Amino acid sequence: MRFVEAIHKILQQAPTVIGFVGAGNIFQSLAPPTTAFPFIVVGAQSDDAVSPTLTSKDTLRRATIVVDCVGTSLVDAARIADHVRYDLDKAKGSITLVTSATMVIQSVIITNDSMTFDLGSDGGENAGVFVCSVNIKIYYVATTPVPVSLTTGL
Amino acid sequence: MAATISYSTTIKIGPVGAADAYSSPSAIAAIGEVTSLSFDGVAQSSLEVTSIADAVKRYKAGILDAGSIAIELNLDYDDAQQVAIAAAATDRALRSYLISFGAASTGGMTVSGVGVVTGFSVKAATDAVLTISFSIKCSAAYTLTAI
Repeated sequence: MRFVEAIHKILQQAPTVIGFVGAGNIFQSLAPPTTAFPFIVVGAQSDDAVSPTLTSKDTLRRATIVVDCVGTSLVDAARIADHVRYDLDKAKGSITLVTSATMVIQSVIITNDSMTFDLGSDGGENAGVFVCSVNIKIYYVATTPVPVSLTTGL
Repeated sequence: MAATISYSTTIKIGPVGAADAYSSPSAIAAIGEVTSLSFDGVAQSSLEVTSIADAVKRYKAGILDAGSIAIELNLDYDDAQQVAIAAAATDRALRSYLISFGAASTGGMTVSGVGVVTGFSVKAATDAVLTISFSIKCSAAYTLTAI
C-alpha cells in the first residue's frame, strides 16, 4: 500500500499542514504513545482497480485514505483538517517514495470529513482528544503486474 | 471444458489485402485498454414463401448480415492502436479485424473478417476515467476458429 506512503510524504511537503503540526508529527497507521499534540495519522481504507480491462493490465487504481487530525482542542483538530483539505485537494503529479520508486498521482480528491471526541482508554477528564478525520480519494498509477506462470511439480 | 473467463480477450485491427480481402492482423499489437467488446453476430433474414394452399406460413433463408462489433476503451492515446482505430473512423477504408475471445488455455475462439469503423465517441464524466467507444460494421462473411 504505497499510496499511504505517498500521502504521508505529500503531507510532509504540504506547507500549511507542516506549519501547524511539523513534518515530524505525521505518521502512517499509528502514532507512538508519547507523541506530542497535535499530530496526523494516515491510514488506508480501500484500494481498487478503477476500470479493469479485458487483458487485466490497467494500472490506474483508486484508493481511499483517512487522515486523522488529532489535537487537544477542537479548534486545533479542525484547523489541521482544513489545512489538509487546502493543501491536498486536487493535487497531482509525480512523487518519489522512500523506496526511490516514483508514483504518478493523477488526482487527490477530498471526499468528506468528520469529527469525533475520543475519551481515551480510561475515560478521564483530561485524557480525551479531538479527532477530525479527512477522507481522501486518490487516483494513482500502480506498477504493472508481471504474473508468474503457474506450474506444477515444484 | 468449463466456462471461459473473459480475461485475455483482445481485438486487433489491420489493413485489408488485395480486393478488400481479409488479411490477418495477428502480427499487429492488440488495441490497449479494452474494457468491453461485443460481437453481435450474424442476422439471418427470412423470405416468406407461403402459398395459398398452405395452412402454416413457410419461409426460406434470405441474405446473411455479418453483424457489428462494439468496443469500449479506457482512453490511452499513447497506445498506437487506439490512434490507429481512431484514424480508421474517418478514412472510409475497410479494415481486417481479429478478435480473440479468451485464450488457448481456456478454450477460447477467434472471430475474423473485414469491416468498416462506423462510430467513434469520447466520454468524460466527473470522478470517472475517460472512455472511448468504437463501432465496426462487419462486411461479408466472418470466420470462427478455435484457439
